[in-house]
Amino acid sequence: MAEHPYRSLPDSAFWRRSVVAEGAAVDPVAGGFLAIARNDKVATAGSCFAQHVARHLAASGFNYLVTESAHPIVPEAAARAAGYGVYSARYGNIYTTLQLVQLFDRAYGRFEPVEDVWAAPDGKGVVDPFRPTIQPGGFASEAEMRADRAQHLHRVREMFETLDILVFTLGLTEAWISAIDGAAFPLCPGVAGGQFDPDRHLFRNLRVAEVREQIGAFADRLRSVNPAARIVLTVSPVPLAATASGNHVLPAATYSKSVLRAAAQEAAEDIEGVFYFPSYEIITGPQARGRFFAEDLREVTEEGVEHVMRVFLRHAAGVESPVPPAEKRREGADSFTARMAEWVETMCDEAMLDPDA
Amino acid sequence: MPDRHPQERNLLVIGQSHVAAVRAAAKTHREAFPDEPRTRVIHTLEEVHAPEFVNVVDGDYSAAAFGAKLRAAIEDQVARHDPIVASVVGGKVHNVLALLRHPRPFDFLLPEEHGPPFDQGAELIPVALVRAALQARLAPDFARLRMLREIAGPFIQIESPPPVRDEAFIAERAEKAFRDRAQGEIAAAGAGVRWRMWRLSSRLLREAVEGLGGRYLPAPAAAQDKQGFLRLDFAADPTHGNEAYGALLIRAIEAA
Repeated sequence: MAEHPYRSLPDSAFWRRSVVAEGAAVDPVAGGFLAIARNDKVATAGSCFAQHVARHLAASGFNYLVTESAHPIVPEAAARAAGYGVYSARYGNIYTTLQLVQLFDRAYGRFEPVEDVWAAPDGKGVVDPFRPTIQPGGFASEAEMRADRAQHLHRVREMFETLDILVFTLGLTEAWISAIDGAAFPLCPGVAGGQFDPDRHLFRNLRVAEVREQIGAFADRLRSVNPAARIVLTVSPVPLAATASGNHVLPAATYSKSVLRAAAQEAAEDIEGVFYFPSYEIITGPQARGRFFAEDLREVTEEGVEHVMRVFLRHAAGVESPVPPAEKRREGADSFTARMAEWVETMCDEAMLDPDA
Repeated sequence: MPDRHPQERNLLVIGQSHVAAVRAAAKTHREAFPDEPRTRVIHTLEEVHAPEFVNVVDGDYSAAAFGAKLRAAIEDQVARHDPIVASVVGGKVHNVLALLRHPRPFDFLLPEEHGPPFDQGAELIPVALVRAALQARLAPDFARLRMLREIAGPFIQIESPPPVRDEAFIAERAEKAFRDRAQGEIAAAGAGVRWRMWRLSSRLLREAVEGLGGRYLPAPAAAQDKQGFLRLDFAADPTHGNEAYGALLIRAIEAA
């Protein structure tokens, strides 16, 4: 039998043996991967699929880094709705690599976009154009929005400087940017605040080379403040909800994911300490036969997310049976306010010591 | 002899600890002028009326109703004396949240009202989230107002006493209360956040009362300093008005 390179390859190199044979349970990580220690501080950012990654990491006993948490007096549901605890800081979804680079630059004062405040959709408040859905109903005033943004960017700096690992989920290539200075908005102006103006707002569909360059630019920036930081890239399996490219949304989604996937691969091959994790393939590969998509053919089912995280934690941490995330209560319950309630109650009782009237 | 203001109508004031100031003023007035109409109070948490609520499930007050004894007490007072009905419900929650300086000091911006400046060393909480914090804790008070409307018809709601400005006045009393516990440093919250929390709480209660068809009376201006804080000569403690404050409330209700 003639020798050739394929003879010595492992099963993972062969479709029939590793994909057909394994089906939806496929574990497509081969070769070296990141190793997470229990005390490594892991931060998350990215498109909406990254929320699932964050939720599972937080529930799996890892040192999930949150630098911007809700104040303990805020009820849990309200805090969650306002984007606290969804990611490591309150930046909302970061869909494009261009946004990620600009987040860093805004946090360190290297970029101050000209268009930096939008009217809320109902006209009563204002919206931060760079996280337009972060405050339900908008901020009450421009002063509040600016103060909250300054506080937020402070926490973003803290995150960049203290994390050990950033898991970033690439979501989109389609972006709306300012014609003035190239500021990238996560949502098209007018969708969740602001007013669309074709002269001021330009559509961009990023290409592989741009995304690759932006990943590199971000890695350089991150390591300028945190030299040992490692980055895990994933591609969101969630298809585009809509496209402004002029193409049908199905090939538009394929283009977008292809670009992100290719750029992530190149970055992982080129940059030390940057890894690629194949959550996209686990969910969308033919072996899954679509079972990990919900009825809307976009959202990923909890079964799919759990499988992704099982594979992730197996390879990154040697954990075989991660605990599915329960409804975890926010840490740092407000014992101070509970004690305050007791004292105020005492004063109320004392106020009633003379009931003879 | 109290300041002479002849009382023309019977009053019924319902609430919790803030009825104490009214009760004390009413007692003094009654002893001096026994033949005049009277001010009576019902403290909804007093044992004689217990239970205050029924149908509270896991802290959910949406279906809550006053207990039978409390309901009967209010109905009896209304039937016998045909009083002007007023409420001093509320007034605790804003103090729970912001009377003392939180270990994570916070402040917020309150649109449309100019108060003391923002505490620059504090963490900003968006006002919508402070509102959510108040709303969650005000659920029992909202239920009280709803029940009062159901039993007594349209009523007058009196705003809770403003905060006192003097931080030492608060801290001194807090230290006594917390003396036996390892609480770390006890300090009053900044005057600004205490004032804003009171204003925001008042807004929420006002919205609730007006939604029920009631009238809302602001805290008496005569008891406030130029910046709107409670004058110490009208304060019983860091959160309650005294008898003189109660006398102002009685006059305000009668004049409403």
